[in-house]
Amino acid sequence: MHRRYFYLLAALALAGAGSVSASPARLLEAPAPDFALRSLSGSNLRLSEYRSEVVIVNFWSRWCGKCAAAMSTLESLQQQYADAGVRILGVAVEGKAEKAAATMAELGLSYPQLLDSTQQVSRDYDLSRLPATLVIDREGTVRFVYQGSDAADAAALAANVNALLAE
Amino acid sequence: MRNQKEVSDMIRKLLGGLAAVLLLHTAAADTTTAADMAALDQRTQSLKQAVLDLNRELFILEEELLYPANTQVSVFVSMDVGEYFALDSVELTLDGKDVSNYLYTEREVDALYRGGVQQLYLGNLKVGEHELVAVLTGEGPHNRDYRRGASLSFEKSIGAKFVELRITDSEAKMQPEFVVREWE
Repeated sequence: MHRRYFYLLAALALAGAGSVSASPARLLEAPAPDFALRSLSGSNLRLSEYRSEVVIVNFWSRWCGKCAAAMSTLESLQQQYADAGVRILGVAVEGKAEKAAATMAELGLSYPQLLDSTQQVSRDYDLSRLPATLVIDREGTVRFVYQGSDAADAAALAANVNALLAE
Repeated sequence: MRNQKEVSDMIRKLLGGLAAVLLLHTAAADTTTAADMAALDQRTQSLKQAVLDLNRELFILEEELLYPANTQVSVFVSMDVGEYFALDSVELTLDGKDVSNYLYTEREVDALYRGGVQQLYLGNLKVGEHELVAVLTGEGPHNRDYRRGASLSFEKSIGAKFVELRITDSEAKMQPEFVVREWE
């Protein structure tokens, strides 16, 4: 099954191979594509409903080695910024509820996990590497993108979140 | 005679120009006295209002261009009471083709409960017979998963067509009811 998602990401990357912008980085300073996804708790969440808050969206998969570190970083940010107007959303690109629940329990995550069961949102965000973390400002514009091991850089994330909160 | 596309482009340019003027006003504010500030602020507010008005007109114009009245079809969702059904999603097909698959958040469902009407789909259809099928999922009586379809065959004539998907409670059956109807 892991291979299936590897092929998915490879196909997504190849689809944009002709352009430099085939990654979430092309969304920098652009409006974040809106989406509505089912969460592990059963409720549906829509990104645009968090306008006026700083939103961090983290795309991850269970088979991605660096995702756990990034998610642990985000959990510590969640504890730090829970009451400061920062919303963290995890998006499981595999879209499997059982696997996402298991990961959530293993890592002790408290922020909502959404299931991208059709991988449509992953396509909309041009995912080519995991983990991918996007920081979206209060106006709904993508301001920072972290991919791979950069997504676990807690200091950089916190500094940029602070800057957006101060705007 | 300018066509609608040119008018649309002109409005876009005008909006850009007004935005630039607003920026210039903001920059100029640094060098003006406090007495001038009130007048400047008033002018800025009126310019902002002009931008908002133009933006609204542009939206209407774009909609008229993309969905001309003779082909336009709109599907709306409304809900009355909702005691026996908590809406989760609506899948919409027109003539067998998926046109919308919408997930509802708590906030959206609450807005529908409070009388809101949502435009679920806006598209174009040629004149003639068409079939619309809506599949609704959610939580029904006794917290059970609920999935129900509703369909409507309708004749598209010259002029915009408005279809409403209405969710109501049947007190007699203690079940939700789904009705698809055309607006006159």
